[in-house]
Amino acid sequence: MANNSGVGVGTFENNKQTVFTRLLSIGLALTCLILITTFYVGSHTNISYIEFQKIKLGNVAIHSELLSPRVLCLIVTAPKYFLDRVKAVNATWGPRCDRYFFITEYIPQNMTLQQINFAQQIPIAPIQNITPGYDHLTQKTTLAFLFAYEKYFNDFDWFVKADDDTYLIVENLKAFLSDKNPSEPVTFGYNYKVHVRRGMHAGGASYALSRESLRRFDEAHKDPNSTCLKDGGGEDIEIARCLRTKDVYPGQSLDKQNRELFHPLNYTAHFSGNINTTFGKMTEHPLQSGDNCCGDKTISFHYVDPDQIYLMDFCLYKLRSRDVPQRQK
Amino acid sequence: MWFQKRSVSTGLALTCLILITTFYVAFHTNESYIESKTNQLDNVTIHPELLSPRVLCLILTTPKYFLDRVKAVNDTWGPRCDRYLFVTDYTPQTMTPEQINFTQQIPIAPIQNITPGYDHLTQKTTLAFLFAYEKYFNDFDWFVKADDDTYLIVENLKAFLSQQNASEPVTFGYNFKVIVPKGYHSGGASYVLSRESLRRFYEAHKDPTSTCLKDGGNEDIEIARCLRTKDVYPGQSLDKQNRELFHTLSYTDHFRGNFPDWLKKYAENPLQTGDNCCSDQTISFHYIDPDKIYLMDFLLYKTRSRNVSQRKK
Repeated sequence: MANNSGVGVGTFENNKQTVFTRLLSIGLALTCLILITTFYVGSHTNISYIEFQKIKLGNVAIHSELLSPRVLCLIVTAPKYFLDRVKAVNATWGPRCDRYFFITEYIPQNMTLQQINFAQQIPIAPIQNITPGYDHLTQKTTLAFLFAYEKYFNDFDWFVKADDDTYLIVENLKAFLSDKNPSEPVTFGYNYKVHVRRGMHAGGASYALSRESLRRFDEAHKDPNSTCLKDGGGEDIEIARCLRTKDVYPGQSLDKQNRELFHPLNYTAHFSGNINTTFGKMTEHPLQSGDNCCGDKTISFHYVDPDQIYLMDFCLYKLRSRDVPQRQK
Repeated sequence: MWFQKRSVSTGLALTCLILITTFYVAFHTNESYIESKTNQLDNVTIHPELLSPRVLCLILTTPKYFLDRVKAVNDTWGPRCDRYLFVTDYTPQTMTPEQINFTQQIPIAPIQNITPGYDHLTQKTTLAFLFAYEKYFNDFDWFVKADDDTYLIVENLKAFLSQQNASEPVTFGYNFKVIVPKGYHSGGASYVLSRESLRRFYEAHKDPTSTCLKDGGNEDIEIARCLRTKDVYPGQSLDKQNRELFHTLSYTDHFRGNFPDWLKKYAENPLQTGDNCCSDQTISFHYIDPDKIYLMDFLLYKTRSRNVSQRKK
C-alpha cells in the first residue's frame, strides 16, 4: 500500500516532471526547426541581404536607379555643329540624361540638306524665335530654361545646361546631385568668383539648376520689374545675375579631396596645368594640376572635340579593364 | 525512462547549440561565401594575380622622347607589367642634363651597343629580346615589345594571354598578312612572344647559319621572319565578336575609318569602323601622344562612373 501511495505521490511529481520535460523537448525541437529554416532561408538570400546592407551602409551608386534624381539636359548648339558635335553628343552622353534636348535656332533656308535631314534624328526643343549667333547665347539659354519650366517643371529634379563641346559623365552628375536638395534655391557647376556677387558657374563646364532655382528663374522673368537680361552679355554671367535677384546661390562642387568635379577646360589642360594666369584669377578654388586636377567622380569637361567625345565614351563605357583589382593603381 | 528523456533533451540542446553557432558563423561569413562562389563561377579577371601570366614589357624609345613619351608611359601603363624596361640608346654626350637626370628615374634595360636611330630598330628590338632571354627567361611567361607611343591595357593583355599557352611557339599582335609567310605583327600595336617563341628566337640568333638579320630592314618584319625560321607562328587576336584587340592606329583612326591605303592591303582581317573597330577587351592602340596617354589612363583607372547600372548602355 505504501508503494501505491508512494507511487501515487511520486507519479504526480513524476507527471509534473514528465510534462515539464516533454514541453522542454518540444520547445527545443521547435527552436531547432526554426533555426534550421532560418539558416536555410538565410543562406539562400545572402545576396539580397548583403546588398541591402550595402544600401544602408554606403554608396547610393549601387542602386542608383532607385534613388537617382531625374535630370533634364539642355544642350546649346547651332546647325553648323549638327553633323559633328551634336552627332557625337547624341551618340554618347546625351541619352544618358533622363531626357535631353538640343537648343538651337532652326532656319532651314540657311541650312544644308544634310543638316536638315539630321535634325530629324535628334531631339530639338520646340522653342520659337531663337536668334542665331554667339552674341545671343543669353537669349538661347534663357529661352531654354523658360521652356523647361513650362513643359517639364514637374518631371525633373535638376535642369542641366551644357554646350555641344561639353562631355558630361551623367552617372557622376546624378550621384553628385542625389544627396542635394532640389527644393533648395541652389545651382552647381564650376565656380568662378568674379563678375557676379557670390560667384557664377562657367557655362561650358555645364551647370545644374534645382527645381526651386528654375522656378525662381521663371518668376524672375515673369516679373516686369526684373533686371534680368533677356539677351546680351555673357550667358553664364547673366543667368547667374538673374538667379541672384531671386536669392538663388551657387553651391560647392569639390570632392572630399578638394578636387574639382566640373571642368571649364578639357582634361589635358587641367592635368598639365597649361592654363593662362588670367584664368586662374577668376576661379573660386585654386587651380590644381596633375592627379589633383580632377576628382574620381568627375562630372564634366569642356572644349572636348567630337573625336575626343567618342574616345572618352569608349574608355568609360565600353572598355572592360574595370573589374581587375590591380587597376586601383 | 528518466535517463532517456534527459539524453533526448540533452541531445536536442546540443543540436540547438550547434545550429546557433553554425548560423552565427555563417551569417558573419556571408560575404566571403558570395565571393568564393563568384570566383568559382566566373571570370579570371576577378583574382587575376592568382591566375594571370607574368608579362615582361620592353618599350623601345630614345633619349629625345624621355621627358614626354617615356614619362607618360612610366607614369601610366608601364608599371602594370610585372616588369618593364625601356630599351634605348644611351649616349650622355648627346643628351641634355634633364634627359640624363630623368634616366635615373626610369628602368632602362642595361644593354650595350645599341645604335641610335630609326634605321636600327631591328637591332634594338633584337638586342631587347636576346637580353630578355638571357636575364629573364625563367621569370616570365610572355615577353611584350611596345613603342613609346603605344597605349597598352595591361590587364586586358593578361586576360587574353591567360587563355593562351606560353609553351607554344606562338606570338600575338595586330596581324598583317603580307610580306612574311603566314604574316607578321604591327610593331607599334605591340606584340607578344611566348616563352617558347623567345627561346626559339634566341636559338635562331645563336645559330651561325641563321638568316635572321641582326639589324636593318623593318623591325616588325625582320623579327617575324626570324621567328618563322624556327616555326614560330602568329596567333589570332580577335574577340568573340570578331573585333580587333590590338590596334595599329589610334582609337580615333580605327573608329572613324581613317585608314591609309596600304593598311587595306596589309590587314589580315577586314578593317572595321565604328563600334566594331575595337573590342571591349581591347589591348592596345598606337600613335597615342603623351596627353592622350594620361587622358586614357584617367578615364580607365581613375574615373569612377563604373558601378552605376545605367552605364551598360
